[in-house]
Amino acid sequence: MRMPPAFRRFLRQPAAVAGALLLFAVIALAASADILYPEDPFEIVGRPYLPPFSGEFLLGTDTLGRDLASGIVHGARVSLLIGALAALVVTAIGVLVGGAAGYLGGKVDALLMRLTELFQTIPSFLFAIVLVAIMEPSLKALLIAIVVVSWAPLARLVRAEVAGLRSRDYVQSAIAIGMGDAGVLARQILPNALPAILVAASVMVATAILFESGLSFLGLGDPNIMSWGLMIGAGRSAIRTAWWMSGIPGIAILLTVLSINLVGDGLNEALNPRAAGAT
Amino acid sequence: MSASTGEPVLRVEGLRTVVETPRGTVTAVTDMDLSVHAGETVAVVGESGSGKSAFAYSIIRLVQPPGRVAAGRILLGGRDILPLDEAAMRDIRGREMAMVFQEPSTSLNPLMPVGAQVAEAILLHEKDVTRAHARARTLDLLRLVGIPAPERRVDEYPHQLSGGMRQRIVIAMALACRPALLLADEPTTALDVTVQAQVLDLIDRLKAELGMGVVLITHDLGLVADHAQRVAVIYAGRKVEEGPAEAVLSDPAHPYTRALLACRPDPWQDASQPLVEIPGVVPPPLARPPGCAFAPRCAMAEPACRSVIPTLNPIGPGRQVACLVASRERAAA
Amino acid sequence: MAGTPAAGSRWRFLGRRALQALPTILVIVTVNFFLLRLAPGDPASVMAGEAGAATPEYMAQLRAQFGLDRPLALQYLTYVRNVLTLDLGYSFRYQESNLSLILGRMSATLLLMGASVLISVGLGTLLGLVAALRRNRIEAALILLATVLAYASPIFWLGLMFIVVFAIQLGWVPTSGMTTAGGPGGGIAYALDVLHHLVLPAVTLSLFYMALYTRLMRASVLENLRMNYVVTARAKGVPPRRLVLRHVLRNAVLPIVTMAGVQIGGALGGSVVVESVFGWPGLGQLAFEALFSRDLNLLMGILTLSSVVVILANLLVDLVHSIIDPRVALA
Repeated sequence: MRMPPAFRRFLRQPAAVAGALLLFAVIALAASADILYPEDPFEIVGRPYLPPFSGEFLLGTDTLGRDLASGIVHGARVSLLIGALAALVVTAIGVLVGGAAGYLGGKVDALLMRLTELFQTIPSFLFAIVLVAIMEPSLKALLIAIVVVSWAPLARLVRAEVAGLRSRDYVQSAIAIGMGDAGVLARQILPNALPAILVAASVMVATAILFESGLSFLGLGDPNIMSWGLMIGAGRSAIRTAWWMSGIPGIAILLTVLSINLVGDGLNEALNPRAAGAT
Repeated sequence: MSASTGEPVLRVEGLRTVVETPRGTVTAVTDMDLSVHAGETVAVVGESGSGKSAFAYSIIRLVQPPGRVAAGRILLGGRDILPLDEAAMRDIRGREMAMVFQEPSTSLNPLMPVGAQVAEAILLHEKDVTRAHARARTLDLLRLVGIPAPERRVDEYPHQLSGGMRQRIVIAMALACRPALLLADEPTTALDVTVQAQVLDLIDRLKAELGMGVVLITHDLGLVADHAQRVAVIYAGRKVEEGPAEAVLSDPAHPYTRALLACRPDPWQDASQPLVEIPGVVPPPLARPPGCAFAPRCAMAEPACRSVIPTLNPIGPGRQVACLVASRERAAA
Repeated sequence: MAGTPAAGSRWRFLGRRALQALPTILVIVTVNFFLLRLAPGDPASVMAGEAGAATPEYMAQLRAQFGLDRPLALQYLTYVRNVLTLDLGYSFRYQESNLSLILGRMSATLLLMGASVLISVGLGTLLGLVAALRRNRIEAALILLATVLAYASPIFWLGLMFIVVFAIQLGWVPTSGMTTAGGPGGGIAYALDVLHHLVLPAVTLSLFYMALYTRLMRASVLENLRMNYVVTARAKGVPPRRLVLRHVLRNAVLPIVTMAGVQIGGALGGSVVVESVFGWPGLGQLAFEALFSRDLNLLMGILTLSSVVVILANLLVDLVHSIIDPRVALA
């Protein structure tokens, strides 16, 4: 009963629909990377420093003569993969920790919230650098680092939602008539907290993509996997003469993150119309 | 005091306030007439959703868009204020007419000392008053509304005061420039019972001292007998009965007024007796029946009630009722 | 005029907050210790960095200083004692103690962070206010468009593009560094030179947060405009400009202050990439250099002291909060 009106409210927002279309385009590009550019994006295929729209290379070539368009398409996979996986794991941890803190309250709550405060005190990007530095640079290391530094805010959000819902009359009466904890959580609390969690998860996808690009830019990504951050870092030395080598991958990140944010705003408006009216 | 003569402080004629919604224009208040004389309290009584608050906000012209006053005249001291622009209205608000609100906990700015909020009203309207003078007058006002230790309280913040004290501050703010008219929108609903009486007695005393007219918006007929000289009962945006408080309370004409009176818990009543209630609810503005809005809930309704909107008919000295049945009964009597 | 009781409770409140921060520092130190142990390889060579380059004498000295040949629990206690007495070790690469290295770079980072916090909070508040008050107008639409773009841009990339446009193409500002080589060594000329170098990195670092504060402020102003105290103020005849400046602004800015506290850690992290892009000689660059010489001990020291900076900055935010909002100290 709930989804159709929410879906309609989503479709009524032009910005959200545009974001969704853009996101679908990025996903389609990532999915068809091997068909569009079957060769390894690290392969040197032409003369270096070719500007965009010059001959056979749509977006030109980099300082070594690698095809930028191929890098963009393959890099989309890394960004989306890291974004989706990080959001999934962070949301799972956030729901577990925040749900436990908000539902159980008391000492558990106090302890877990102190823990999240701690994680929010350590400068997250610096922390991520240290974590990646300790592990071998790889996609897995990036993922772990991003998850470790980003789960805390989501846990706090879930906790606030759950604690707020738990004190509601209908949840209290469900407890009063003898519904067990698992039942209350699964049937009363989580469905009502879902909109907020969904919106936060979509923001997390965008944050993770930005994080990944920043770490890869610094050279902390997997050196054997083409990613947008890596491309920006590689093009940096030629910034005076060939700005597009860094410029184009950056635009790819911007558009991807933008599309996800627009979808997130649209979801917020659609799932939570009362609160979203304020923003 | 109730038999005042001369020009009333406030005269409302044919007031109509509407709200534009995506599903059409909703009428909050319609065909409202009301006069308030100096030194008089007129209670406007109705259930929630009856339009009584919209009426008060219309008079001070603070109806929030998409709501607006669509028709009528609001004469303040004989001058129609409805055509005035916002700047002219600002000059009137707080000086010639002031308002006290329902929620003392949220109607004060939490980040400003209470004294500064009272002084602000003075400094806004009286250009030649110095800050020191405004502060002295603020202290006088705090004393007037019965705030203990005003020298200390004046610099405190709203969260340091109790609900009753906060409402006294709101009243002091409203009275800062000695307005001719005070609108009190359920001023005691959010307060403890003992504090309620104090606040209403305060308004009564200040009304007499300052010679103000007071419009007391309330859902509680119990307050009317002690604190109002006249009463107007409104239902679904229309006035259904008006008259001297004593007469209306002792001999209600409209079936709705009777039902409201019957609903009041009687302290002497046998506790085993169930409380009376009016069946049904006030019809939502978009679903009002064609005839008398009260007909669906009325035990005395006749077929004609469901097709004709009854007009207000005089039924005695200063009394009016908008009910086919009651008008007929009274005319026969 | 608020009187001494209010001020007293404010300091008690801040004291309590400071006390709460102490265990946080201890836990961060503990986490650091175990992270160092997690790093693959011999702890001494991990700590020395640039494995193989350190002399055997230096390795022996490290082992002795951190008690690396003793049981883990003792190692831990030694580590904690060292850190709490501000002994963060010695950098073999720089031939300098880690503490003095970090403190030497700290001021540049604090300058960059401070400038970017001022820009983002100041402009974010202003833009959010305009976006709320000019609701259905073109100004609001443009501001919201700008925030959406700023919100989606990777800051290091934005920095590079700014360098291309403003430093390389237009030549308005230098491309990197904090001072002009061979430039003025002191006085107002020096300050202006630093300021000239500071503009671009500070703006770059502030844009993301400015977008965040703009959105937050807009929502907060709209919410406050619907509150009862606004109706009360209007009912006593307060004109719109005064209503916004004296009543709404102060109430609406509270969530920004809270958020600024949460975001300082983020801004410090963001300064790593910005410093790297602009060659700004701060902690971020030091961290970057430490990272590539695998000087983990120095990296940990930076992380620890940065956390302390975040805690101190949060205390400052608490102080500001308690000044704006008289209710805070009582909570």
